[in-house]
Amino acid sequence: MRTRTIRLVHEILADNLEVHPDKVALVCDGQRLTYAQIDEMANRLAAAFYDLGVRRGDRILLYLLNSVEAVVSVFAALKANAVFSVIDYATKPDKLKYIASDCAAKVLVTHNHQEVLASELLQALSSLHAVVLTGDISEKLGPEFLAFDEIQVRSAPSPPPQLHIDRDLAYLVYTSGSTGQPKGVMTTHYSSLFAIQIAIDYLGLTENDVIASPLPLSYSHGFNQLLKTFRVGGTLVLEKSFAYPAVTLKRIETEGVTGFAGVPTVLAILMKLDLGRYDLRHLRYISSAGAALPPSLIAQIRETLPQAAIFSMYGMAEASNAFGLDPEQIDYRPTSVGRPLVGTEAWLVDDAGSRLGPDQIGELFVRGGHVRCGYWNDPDTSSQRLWPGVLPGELVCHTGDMFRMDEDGYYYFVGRGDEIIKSGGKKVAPKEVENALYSLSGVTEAAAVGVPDAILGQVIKAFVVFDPQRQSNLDERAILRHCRETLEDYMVPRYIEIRDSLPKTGSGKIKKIGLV
Amino acid sequence: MEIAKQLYSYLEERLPSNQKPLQLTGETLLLEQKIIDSIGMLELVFFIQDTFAVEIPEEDITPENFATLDGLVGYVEGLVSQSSS
Repeated sequence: MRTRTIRLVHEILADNLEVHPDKVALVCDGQRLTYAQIDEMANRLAAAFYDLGVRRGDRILLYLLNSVEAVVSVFAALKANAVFSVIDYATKPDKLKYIASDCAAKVLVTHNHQEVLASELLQALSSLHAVVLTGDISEKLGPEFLAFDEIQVRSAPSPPPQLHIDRDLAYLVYTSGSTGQPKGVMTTHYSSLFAIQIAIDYLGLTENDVIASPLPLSYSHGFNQLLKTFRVGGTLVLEKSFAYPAVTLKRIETEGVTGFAGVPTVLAILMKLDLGRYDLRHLRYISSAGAALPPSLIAQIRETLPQAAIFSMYGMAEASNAFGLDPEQIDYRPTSVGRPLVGTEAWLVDDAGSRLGPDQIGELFVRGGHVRCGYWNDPDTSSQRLWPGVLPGELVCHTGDMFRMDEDGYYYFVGRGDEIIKSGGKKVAPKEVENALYSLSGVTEAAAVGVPDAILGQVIKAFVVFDPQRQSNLDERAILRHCRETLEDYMVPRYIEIRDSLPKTGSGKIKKIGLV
Repeated sequence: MEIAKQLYSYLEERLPSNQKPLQLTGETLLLEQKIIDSIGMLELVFFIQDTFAVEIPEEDITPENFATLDGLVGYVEGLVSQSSS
């Protein structure tokens, strides 16, 4: 019988300790950890964070692949009254440096492979006091470096006193912005738990669920799997990545996984495998978010895994788990993102700000406890995306995305209000790709657009114009190499076209419509 | 030797140049040291299939065969010699 009231994200652990401390909470990288083991490891790391000078509200960056250390660090940061941010492991050094500087991170937790990068960050950023490295660490490293494993042996399992209340920040989610620089979406304990409960109710999760996720913890839908599973006292099978799909499938079989979390790209790859070779009888649902599931993919999943309900969700870093489609509706309304989930109010407005009725296209607004409170260090963007709400002091999310609603209240995505491209479920700001192209000597014009792709949903096509006065010896291969060096893999253009000129609008801007 | 060279060249091109002094060796962990990610793994599989005219069964895409360059070379050499015999 659970009696504890959960007000802080990390109290999820304490709740499970009372009910089933020895239940396996996490299966990851060949390890099986109980709730009690994770709690103790988090306590030891939290004590070490405190000894390193971490105080209430300080930021801790977790630059890690999905791992036991990443999960432990999440709870340790919260137990130390800090605010953590899990950074996509694909993030390039310059962007990591930007983020660490933006949030004035005090501690970085990363893998020992990133020792050189961590040293550079320590030198460059005065706010950064220490680095915790997982795995074996070199004895030559200075006192600013601590080994995760050694902390687990030497540090006491006693975290500092709890100071946070539910209105305090729990974490920042850095997300691509249309300006090209990532923005840290500020998430309080309250809004995180609110969003998690919405998803638990929608998916009907219980402590008997075993949820598998290959999605990175840096990604909202990926991170939510951790909190959802722990909130109900289930077991999370956390895959390091989706690099080895057949290995993941085998684990789904052997662990008796009941729920699988993906994005359309992951599910498209899954459907290319021979699923008949695996015993997936326990798999009762598949959840997807990040982008709309193409109807052809839905049909494939329905045919291949008839026992698995498909839960198609839609949300954003600024208001996660806002919409969900009832699984029984997926055959009838496959292109819908569903209806606002319990606790969410949504509406569409036209250019004049008037609310729209069914079958009219307008901008989507979202209201609810899951609406985040703003962007770190960025009041301008905060005021653009989060508008004063119905009640004094309340904020509603102005998503900027265009939607239509049908007569029955189901919503349909029409298009993004900004230029953001979604590739493999990840957001790509064209401006970021274009900035990389412009940094090449001799490039006078550059444009990046999204083009359809069967697996990734969209991939990037870049158009480049060279200065005719300068003899450029750059070819497509050289441009690609430059992009690989400066951009994350998912941002690197799949196609490059060199042109003599690009079409312009009346005001002289590059006209992207009609480029492809 | 040819196989090793081609695989090295393919992966070397993906080496993050601004993370020097990282060098690509036979034991470099491709995923952990960010030479490739999940999608990169898929592209690597397509590259091997196209370049060496072999089929890679899904169950062969495992850490044993794909985690390092050494593992990859051994695996692809075995695959090529099987398909040519």
